[in-house]
Amino acid sequence: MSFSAQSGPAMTGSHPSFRLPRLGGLKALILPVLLFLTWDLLARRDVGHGMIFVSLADLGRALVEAVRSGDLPRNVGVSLLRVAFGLVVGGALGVLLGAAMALSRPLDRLLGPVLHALRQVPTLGWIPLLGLWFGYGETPKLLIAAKAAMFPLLLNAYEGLKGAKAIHLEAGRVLGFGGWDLFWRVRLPSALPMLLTGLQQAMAFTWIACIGVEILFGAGPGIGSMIEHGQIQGRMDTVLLGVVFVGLIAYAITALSNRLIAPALRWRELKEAS
Amino acid sequence: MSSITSPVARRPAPTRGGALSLSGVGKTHRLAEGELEVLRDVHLSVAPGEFVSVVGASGCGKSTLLRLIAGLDNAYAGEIRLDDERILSPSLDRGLVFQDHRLFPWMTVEQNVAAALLKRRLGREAKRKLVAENLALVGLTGFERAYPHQLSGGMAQRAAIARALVNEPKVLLLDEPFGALDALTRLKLQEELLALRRRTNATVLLVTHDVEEALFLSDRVVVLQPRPGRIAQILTVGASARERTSPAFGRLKEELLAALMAGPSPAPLDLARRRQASSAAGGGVG
Repeated sequence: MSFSAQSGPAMTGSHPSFRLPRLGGLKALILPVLLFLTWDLLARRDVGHGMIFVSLADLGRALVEAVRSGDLPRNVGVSLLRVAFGLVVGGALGVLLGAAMALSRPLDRLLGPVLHALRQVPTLGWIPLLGLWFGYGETPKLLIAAKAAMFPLLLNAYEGLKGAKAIHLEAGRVLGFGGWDLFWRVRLPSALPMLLTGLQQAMAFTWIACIGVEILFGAGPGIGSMIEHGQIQGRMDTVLLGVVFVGLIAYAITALSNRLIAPALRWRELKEAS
Repeated sequence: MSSITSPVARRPAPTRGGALSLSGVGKTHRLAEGELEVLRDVHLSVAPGEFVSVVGASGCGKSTLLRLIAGLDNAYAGEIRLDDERILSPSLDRGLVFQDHRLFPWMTVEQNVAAALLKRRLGREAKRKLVAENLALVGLTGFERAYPHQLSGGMAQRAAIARALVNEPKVLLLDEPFGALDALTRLKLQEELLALRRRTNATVLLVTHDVEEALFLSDRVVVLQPRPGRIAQILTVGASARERTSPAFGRLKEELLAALMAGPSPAPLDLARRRQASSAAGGGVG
């Protein structure tokens, strides 16, 4: 290595822009298309006598009908609204509780055991209890969505804020930062990767929990309820349509969260790569 | 252009360095197993604009001493004063550079330097100008938007120096700032530090275990003896001794190494190894 190479400015290589998990062009489509074609073939051969397999044509008709009648948009919309409620209310509560517990040892001791015990109860375990307390209306569904969003954010906010490095906090103190500056300028940015990971998990979990509780409660609109009704009425096309949309929306949520999160983590690019 | 120029519109007149005085400074860590005395009765006066190095074996308390002067720890005995003001907390009067650059990884170089101006009541434009000036001073113009992980070790350390200098501190405290760099980069940055010092006039206190670095940069070198850290000797470096190749430099180096090894603590085996290492490497005793 020459002296000039040492003294000269040396960026450590070019840095590729952050690659999002994408459909990978057409390759990612191969498997779903094959799956649908097989499905269609089985339906045409009348395997399961029309009960199990529906032809793609029937599915297409069901889609057109569901969109035209407004059922599908309404059901998807209601489910998404519940998820949004869960993320905003449960997410905010999770971040606040996580932050409070990370910054205050007494609060950590006070709330920690209870919250960790509650966290261990699976979502399904809450459904009978909530059903008894609040009936089968909107309240238990929103509570489940909020609960699903709260814990990933609580845990990640807690770990993230606790994980701020002493050397960075000290560097902040040298620059004259007070408590608030240290929180805002050092702890929070340090915790950001974990907070965003928590958000990503929360988005996925809340969607799953929301569909689950809709299927189990059945009543009212929602894409989970639509699947449940399809099953009761023996409408395989409706069930299948619901399942396909649940999957598509889950995929869209993940893609959206990745896209939102990547720019905020640009400073980690190379650390991740190396 | 209006006739009223902001204070930073022109390059400010070189700041005067601060006078640093330590009297009877002692520090004891309270551990679970008992107390550990790290520093005992340290007396030292550093004149405004003077460059003083503190050398000593690792564990001699030299970094602790710097932390006390930085104001990061106010539970100490004795008094530390900067221009007659007692030091009990960090202040922008004192810039500190650590061995690891300690830049905030989520901020660009520019934002890192600007972070040091957070507590200053200056306009946005004035701050921007100060940041640009100081980045230029350390040769990082063009790298404002780079993140710390994109920089080489030497560049990151320069950014850290710019961050410490941006408030024009009265005292610049350097804790083994070049310790983690390769030999060539270290030599280069030592040269740059001398140039910087001429331009800023700040008082500089450098902690290092590199004897040659101390001699090359300093007006005086303080030898710290370990367990507990005490001042064993203070050497004055004349202008002629600055040249690494001069006989005076060699003589002072011998003297300094002898003072370092006169400490009572190292075990005989340890001592023998050091002597061997120092004669082989020709300096840089840890």
